[in-house]
Amino acid sequence: MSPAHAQVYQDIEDSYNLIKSRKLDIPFGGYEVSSSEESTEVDFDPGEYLQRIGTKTFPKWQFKSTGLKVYSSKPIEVVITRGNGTYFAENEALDICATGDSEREALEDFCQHVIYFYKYYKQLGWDQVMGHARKLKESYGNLFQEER
Amino acid sequence: MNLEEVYPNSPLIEVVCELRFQRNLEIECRRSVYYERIKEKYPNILLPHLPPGGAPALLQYRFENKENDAGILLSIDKFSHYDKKYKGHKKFISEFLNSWQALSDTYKIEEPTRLGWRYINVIPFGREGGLVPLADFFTFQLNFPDTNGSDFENLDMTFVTRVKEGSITTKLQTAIESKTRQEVFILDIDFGMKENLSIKNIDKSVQHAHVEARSLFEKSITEKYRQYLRGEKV
Repeated sequence: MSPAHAQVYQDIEDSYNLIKSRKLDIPFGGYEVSSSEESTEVDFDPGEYLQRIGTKTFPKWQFKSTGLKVYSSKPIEVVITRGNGTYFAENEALDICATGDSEREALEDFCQHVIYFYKYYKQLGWDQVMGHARKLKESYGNLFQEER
Repeated sequence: MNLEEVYPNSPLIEVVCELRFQRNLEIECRRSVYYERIKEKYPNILLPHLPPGGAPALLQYRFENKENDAGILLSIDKFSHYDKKYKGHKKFISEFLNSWQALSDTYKIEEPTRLGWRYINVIPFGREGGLVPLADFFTFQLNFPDTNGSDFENLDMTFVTRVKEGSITTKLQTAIESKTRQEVFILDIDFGMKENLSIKNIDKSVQHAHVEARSLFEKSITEKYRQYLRGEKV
């Protein structure tokens, strides 16, 4: 992981710790903040639940790299996995498999791939593509729009 | 807004409907009678852990199905049905009412004091330039003076709003898993009503609780995120 990315991770970690400590630090005095009498009881532990999630999958609509930003008209599902210390950010339909030393790096690489393929297929004429490449040109052309 | 729609890509991880009532000692003394009525569906018995200074009678016994994803919680003043694999409100309400019917046939339950419906959603996200992409998922905005309302590095908030015949406690926070660094929004919606409750009309109150909680969820999410929940994605 690069020093810059390590710093970003530290910043995220700090912001979680800050929220935690500020919540403990509020001088409530004798006032009640909340009451279990007022809530529907549930036996839910976010930490335990998060540990059970294996593959991380989430939608993304904006992609930015090297001065260009594109928006997708449909949610692009990014699948994050980790193997042998490398993070992968993938989308099969767009034929993208990006990598990085951290999730953030892999996600940035994913954005670069989207921008690269968007530009690449845009400049290719229809007479220059066939088969799978034709489908990808259609997908990138129909899905993405540049920020104006 | 279609409150009947069941999303194939739903972020719900747990739904609970709970009825509270005046304390009834019969429930503690004859717990086995109720268990006999529901054990075919919910055979697993899970006992509560007694916290220091806690009252055992107020802690809920849990009767769970074989798959460990749905069940009933019961104490002398509370009854709830929960489902971790929610397949829509019709099935859920039907299960709740069946279990409730068995309870009210077994014990004389009087004076309901609160009805609650809780939706817990877990929504994974990826940061945009180090910030939480709130506007991609949620319609509401927070605007503070001299700040950009969408530039959140993190957030953790709870608010209570008054709605028809009750109130809704909404919690929205970001959470991170320590090992995988997976980040998620936790959107926790809890509708509660205390007025106009009657044992005879529990079914209507449950329907109303569902409508209020679901409406808030539907109004809270963006159209593009709804598209994702519908499975319309690339």
